[in-house]
Amino acid sequence: MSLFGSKPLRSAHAADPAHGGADAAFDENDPHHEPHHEHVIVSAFTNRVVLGILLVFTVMTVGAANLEVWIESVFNIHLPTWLNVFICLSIATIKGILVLLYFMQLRYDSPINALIFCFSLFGVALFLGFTAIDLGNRAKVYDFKRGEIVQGGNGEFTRTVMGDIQEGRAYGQSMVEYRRAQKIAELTKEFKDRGDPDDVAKQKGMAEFNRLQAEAVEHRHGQHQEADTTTSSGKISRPRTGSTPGLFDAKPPQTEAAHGEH
Amino acid sequence: MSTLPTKANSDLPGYEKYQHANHFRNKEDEFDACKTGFWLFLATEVLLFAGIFVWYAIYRMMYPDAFRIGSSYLDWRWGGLNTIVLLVSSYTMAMSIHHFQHNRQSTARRNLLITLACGGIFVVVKMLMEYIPKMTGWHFDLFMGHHGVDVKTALGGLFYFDPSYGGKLPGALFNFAFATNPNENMWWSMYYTGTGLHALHVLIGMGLIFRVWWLSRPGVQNYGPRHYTGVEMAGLYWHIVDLIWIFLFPMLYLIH
Repeated sequence: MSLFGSKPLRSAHAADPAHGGADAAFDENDPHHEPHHEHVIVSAFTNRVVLGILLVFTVMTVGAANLEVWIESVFNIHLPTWLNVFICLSIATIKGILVLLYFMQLRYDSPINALIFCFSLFGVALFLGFTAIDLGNRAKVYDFKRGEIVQGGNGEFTRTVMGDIQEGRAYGQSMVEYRRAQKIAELTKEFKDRGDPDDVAKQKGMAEFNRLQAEAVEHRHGQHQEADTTTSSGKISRPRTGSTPGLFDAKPPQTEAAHGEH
Repeated sequence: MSTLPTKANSDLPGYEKYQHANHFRNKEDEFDACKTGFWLFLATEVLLFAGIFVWYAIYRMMYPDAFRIGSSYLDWRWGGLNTIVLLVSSYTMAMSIHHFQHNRQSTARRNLLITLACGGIFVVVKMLMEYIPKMTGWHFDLFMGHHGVDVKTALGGLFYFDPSYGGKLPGALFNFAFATNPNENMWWSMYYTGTGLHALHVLIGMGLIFRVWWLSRPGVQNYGPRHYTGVEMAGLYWHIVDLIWIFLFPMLYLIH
């Protein structure tokens, strides 16, 4: 028997009496007489119904998210954040199960394939669960390690390594702050180049920055153009969650940048 | 394994000539083994994206404001359009397998083409309506609308420049001056990694579907009722791409 032979394996075996080829009742190719797995043809109707349900759920999930925003703005209430997450991900889960069962045919398939997929979901749960547990409890153990992560740096620092002066990245300033200050400097320089005196150019540059900033905020869609829904007001008291820095700062960020200029 | 064409079988379609590999009992076993192997691969795909989902979940817990503000720069209408496009393409892919099983070759190939077109629409919308404006500030305007005098335009008004929009780039490339939260750039890193990895999968899936389309051309017809393993696997890949988008869409565009 050669794996590389041109003859198929079964004929090689069938010709060899030692492998049972002489026994007519014994089928070498199917020693246990297992029933063959039949291929399923999912009907066009099923596919169409599934597509219809998927599209309806897509409209529902978009509708639910926008409805929630509308309710918040009209009735001036703050719905709990988990509601939005729960609705969105529940609908996504239903849609995902439909795709898995019908489009990917897990419903008609050998259960081992579904088992493999469930294993990967177990992996996802494991990753998410344990990182969340870690994140939720880290502060209890190492309070000092809870510091926020800030990406970036201003791209400038000088250090000496073995006598060589190297320039590189510093981590004193967040990228967002750095970029803001840089932009203001750019705009100020533009006005200066047009012949404005320093202080006027600075003022104009700051004004131009504020104008562009207001425009940029306007670009945000839907929910976030509404009045501030994060902080409490005289009318309504809202819970504060999360550890985002700057959230409760009294000063708006622009003012900070202006101070950082000099 | 492949069979050399002889006079007896040379005029048969490819799926009739197909012979399963030597080490399989029969074609059905080969198909099942192939499918289980592919599901193992799909499991690793899910785990690959699990990293991105965990990234999202953890950072959203730590920096809720940055993520809310970041999410608000995305337009759910483009995300929704892309969701519908991918769902329809998943349907046409499933129908393509259905038609191959019934040996309706041209209908099956037409469904493959629609699937490819949908994948193309997805990628074009992603690039033209989302990535390019966010990265550069150049917006695409199909209707070449009337912009103000001081608005920079390109290609006869097909693109216009918004100075307060561009620079939302991932990682160290972040160049957006008007962020209002010190951690907004983390959102953009996550956004581009997640959607970029997914878009890469869309492109690979389109490649697989194109391969099926090419191998099923008249005169070759590699896929039919007796053999359609390649179509089935390309379909599974395409569906997992759809499945991942089903989760990415609400996470990025709808949760606020």
